[in-house]
Amino acid sequence: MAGMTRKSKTIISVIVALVVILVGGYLFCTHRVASAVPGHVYQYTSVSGNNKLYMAFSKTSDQVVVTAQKSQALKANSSENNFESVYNSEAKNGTWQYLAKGSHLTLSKTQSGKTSRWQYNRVLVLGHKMHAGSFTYQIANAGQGVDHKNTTFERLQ
Amino acid sequence: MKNKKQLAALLMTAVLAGPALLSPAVMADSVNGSVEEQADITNWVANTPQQISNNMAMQHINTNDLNGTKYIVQWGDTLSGISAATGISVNKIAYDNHIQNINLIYAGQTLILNRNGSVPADYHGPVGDPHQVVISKTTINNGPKNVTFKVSPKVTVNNDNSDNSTTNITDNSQTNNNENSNDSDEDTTSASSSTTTKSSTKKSHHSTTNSSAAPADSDELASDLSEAASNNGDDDITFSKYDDSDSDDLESVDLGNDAKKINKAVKKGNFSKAEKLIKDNLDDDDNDVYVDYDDGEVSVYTKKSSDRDSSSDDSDNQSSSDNDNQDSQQVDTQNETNEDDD
Repeated sequence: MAGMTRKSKTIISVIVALVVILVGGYLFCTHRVASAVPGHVYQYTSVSGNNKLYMAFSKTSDQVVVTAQKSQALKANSSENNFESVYNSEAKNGTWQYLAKGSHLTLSKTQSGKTSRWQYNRVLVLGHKMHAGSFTYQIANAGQGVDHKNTTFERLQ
Repeated sequence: MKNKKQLAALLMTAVLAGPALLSPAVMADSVNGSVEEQADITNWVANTPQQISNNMAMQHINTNDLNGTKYIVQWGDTLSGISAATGISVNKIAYDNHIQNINLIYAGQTLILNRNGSVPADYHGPVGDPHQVVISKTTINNGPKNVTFKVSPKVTVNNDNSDNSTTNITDNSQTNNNENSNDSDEDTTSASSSTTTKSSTKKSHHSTTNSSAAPADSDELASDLSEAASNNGDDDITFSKYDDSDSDDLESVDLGNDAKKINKAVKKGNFSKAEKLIKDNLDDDDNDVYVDYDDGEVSVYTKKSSDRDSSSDDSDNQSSSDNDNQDSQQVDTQNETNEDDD
């Protein structure tokens, strides 16, 4: 180190600083999901890119309205009473709950006493979009596994 | 010149007949897809009647003229949704298509939609929830057999719609193992794996029928065990809810050391394993099994051997004198269960 020129030291310092910024930034962005989700409506785009879902995450509970109808999700997010109303009206098709923690977002659906879950891993929050690097699933009467496919959530509200 | 005419005629035929020939195949492919696409959450959210109507329109189905029309079931469809989209009752669709269990309708299945005709008065309708989305034809397994949920909400199940009582059934962190071979691992719970409707359906080797939730009551346990028996190939065994009024005709089954394992398997929702263990403790002619589920404790009953013998021999003489001796004690597994809890 003593033999290094000032220029070399500067270059190394800059590289170290960049690595720290990039790693820190990545860690920051992958641990924002817990704060990015509650109280918002997201549009989810499927693995194939052909299908979309709308999710209204409760700000005060672990409930989430998951629906194919955008209007219903937006209505649910408009007030707590509307959220309750929409959540209960959709309950016949299964009740949904969520937990966002660390770099994971898990959605669970319970219907007829059986639960299915999808855990989105390595969730990167960038602005209004969240990108998940993979998802782990356990679907009642269907199977379980890990899919290493990117999926996207876009915040609408 | 002649060749050119033939080629042109062939092309024209292909262009005209192509859509008609390919249309069903395209729709069928749209419900298969890769494993990743099948597991996608969008497939497991119920379609609205409007979406189902759109799907029908894509299959050139006029919902105003349904007379034996074939519809290929799409991901996210529910029988109630199809009913709402067509105006045909759930029972009518089930009757016309010989559907006995709604939970076994799968994406890609063809349904006959018929407005004409009626359902016989004595038709009781299919079992299952008409709001349940259709399942996959094959088990959706991708990658590891074990999946880990690092983050999971505490799932709340309403036990009774008439009140607000709820039960928390999962913890924040769970590992799920299809094979369920490790009884000592409390973090390992069963996962639903395979529900198939055709013998040609591809099954994975570790295929078991499980639920991710413990049953709420004896009725639900009997239903889950019946489904597991069917999937385990034990079609001759039927499980029913134990009723106190039948206690005179029933005797409890001594589950011995398996009692603890059965309680644990049921608590974890691994009904396939529970059914196998129960079966191991039955006599060969014990086909009618009654189960009671209370405080996490499973009790198993069968018809008294005297009843079975007399019925099988067509004898009119009911041996009542032996009944007192055959009334055995209900197996108390509660203590063992408590010892085993976390």
